[in-house]
Amino acid sequence: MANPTPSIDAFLPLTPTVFYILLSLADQERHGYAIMQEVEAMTRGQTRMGPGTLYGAIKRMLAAGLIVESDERPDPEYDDERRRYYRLTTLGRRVLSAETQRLSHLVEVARRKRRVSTVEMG
Amino acid sequence: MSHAPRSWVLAASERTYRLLLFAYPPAYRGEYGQLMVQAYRDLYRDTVRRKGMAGLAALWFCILGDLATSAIAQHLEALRERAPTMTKKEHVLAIIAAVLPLALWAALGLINPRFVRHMFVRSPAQPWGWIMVAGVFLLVGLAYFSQRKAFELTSQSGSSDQAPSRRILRGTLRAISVALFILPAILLVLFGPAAIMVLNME
Repeated sequence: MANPTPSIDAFLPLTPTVFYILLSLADQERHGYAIMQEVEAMTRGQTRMGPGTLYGAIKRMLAAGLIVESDERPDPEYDDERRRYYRLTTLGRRVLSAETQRLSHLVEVARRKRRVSTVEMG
Repeated sequence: MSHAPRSWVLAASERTYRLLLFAYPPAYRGEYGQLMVQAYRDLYRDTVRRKGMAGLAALWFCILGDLATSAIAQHLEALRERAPTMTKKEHVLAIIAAVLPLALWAALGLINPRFVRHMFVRSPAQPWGWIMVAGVFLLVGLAYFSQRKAFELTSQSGSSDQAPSRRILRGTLRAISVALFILPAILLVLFGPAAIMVLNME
């Protein structure tokens, strides 16, 4: 391949939209509307992505090599020929993992600070 | 109350959504338009199933917000993508068109120094010369920017730039740019010094 693999750090921090899409594709490939539903379920209904936001992000993520279109159809029974399915690339999976670690670290810092402030107040 | 999707409402709202997709750049619409309509159809059915027809107002509120922000983002992205397609010749033409008023100013200044002298009166009470200089440079900047945008908006990678409709559109945009920025800049260069002389004497 002509293009060198971009550094994972160059993608971080991810925008919430990109993070949600990567996360929704972490366990299986999905089509656009299934991604929207999964994002809504993951965020307990707090985030409802519109078609414009979704496909704008998908376009950028395809160009960046984070996801690819998949030829396989996981649900042949309910499959619609016109739907396009997307799945994570190795790069996408690494970026998702790095962002998850970054967020976990921040959550840990927040917990520690809360513990410290609780002790100080107590 | 029945929550069954009413097909005529779906058909009408889908047609409206299809029309609204014209807010996106043509290339993006060609690639993702059909998929977005399909996603809208799914959203519609899901909303009606879960919340009934009353949920459609909230759905459209979200859809319009989503459309406005993502269409602007796609246009900006399309402009960024098209920028490198502007050739050197097109750049030179845009620069020449924009700096025409400055060239005229320099030429007039050489013929008659009065055209320039009144611009640079160093007095806070007589700021008109400086305002005019700033105005000319602002118009020149806007002229270059609009000429460039005229090329970019009518360029499409992978398609012929010589298509008659594209040339007509480009010509119209450039004419608008000339009328809005270059012409006023030329008029300012020609008649500004006389006006400033009068203003400074008051």
